[in-house]
Amino acid sequence: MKNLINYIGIEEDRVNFAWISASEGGRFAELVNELTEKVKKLGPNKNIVNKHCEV
Amino acid sequence: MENLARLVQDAARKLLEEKKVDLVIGFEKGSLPLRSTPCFVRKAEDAGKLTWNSSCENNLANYLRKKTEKVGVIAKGCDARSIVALIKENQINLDNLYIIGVPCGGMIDRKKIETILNGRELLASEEKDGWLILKGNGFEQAVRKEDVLHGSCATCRTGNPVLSDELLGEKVPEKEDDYSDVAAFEAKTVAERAAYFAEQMSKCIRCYACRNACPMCYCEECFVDCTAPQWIGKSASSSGDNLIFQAMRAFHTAGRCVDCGSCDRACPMGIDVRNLNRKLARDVKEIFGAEAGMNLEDKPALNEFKFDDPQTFLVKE
Repeated sequence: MKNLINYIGIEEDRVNFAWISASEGGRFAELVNELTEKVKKLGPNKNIVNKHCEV
Repeated sequence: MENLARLVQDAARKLLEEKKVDLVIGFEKGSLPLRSTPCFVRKAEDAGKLTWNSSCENNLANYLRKKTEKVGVIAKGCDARSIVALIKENQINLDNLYIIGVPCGGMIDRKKIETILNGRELLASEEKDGWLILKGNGFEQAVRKEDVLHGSCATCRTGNPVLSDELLGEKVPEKEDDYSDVAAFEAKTVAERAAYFAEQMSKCIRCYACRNACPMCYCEECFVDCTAPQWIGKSASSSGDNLIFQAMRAFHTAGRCVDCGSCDRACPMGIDVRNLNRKLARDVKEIFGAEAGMNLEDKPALNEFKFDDPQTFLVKE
């Protein structure tokens, strides 16, 4: 899925998958912070927009 | 080719006379040159209607799902692969099916013929030793068959049916597919790829012909028709929505699509639909070493889990 999303023109860092156990709260927070940073750097997604979500 | 048509008729007639099947699904001559249309034969005396030529392009696996009667089907390479894939998904009962396999050297893309004819009307056509002779009012032109094949036929490796109860005619030579078109497209930048798809998908009229022609698209309710929740917009005005439809369809057929090219042929707007399916077929082959519908033994790639499956999609840290 990630490959296809990238193929159709969405930046690689925008969609991410990870295995995190329910007991790994700390690791979850860490990863989310990291990814938020990455996505902020990319800016808003302009390439493919679902019509409902257009602003 | 005419010889093959006769073999097809004889095989169908024999099956119906011996009451081995109740119905034979094949092709009959269409009303225009280079057109053949699916044909359902129930009586032995009607078997003469059947034909075989390079315009028998529909995937007949589409008509076999949930059939309770005994059916015989004329299957070329891609039809046979789709049938195998559908058997594995419990959509076709192999006990009720008789497959008459026909080796296939590829089907002709009428859009390419139209480009060659450049407005002139085609009145008749003839096939001879790898050449196709186009005839019309005051002209006759020969083109090489390999130059006017459908994209999916040009890259097809399985012209010979992978599964059949009887095989008619001579086998065609095996070919290799290197997916070089996918690699070339991947080499483009993200922005170029997005721009390409935006342009392609702006042509989509959301007629869903691709979905209906696809043997693997058989959900009773498709996600695009769903209203609660409504996953995507239903009008064709947004190329983003159109792309989401096409990408999700490709994703739903990942590891199942046999690259028969039916979606591409069905598209009235000439959208490059197969591009997405081929990308996924290539990935499934590379990552899991699996190809859909090649034999009855392998489990469908996405129905199986191994502890050492590669997980390249996980976030890199």
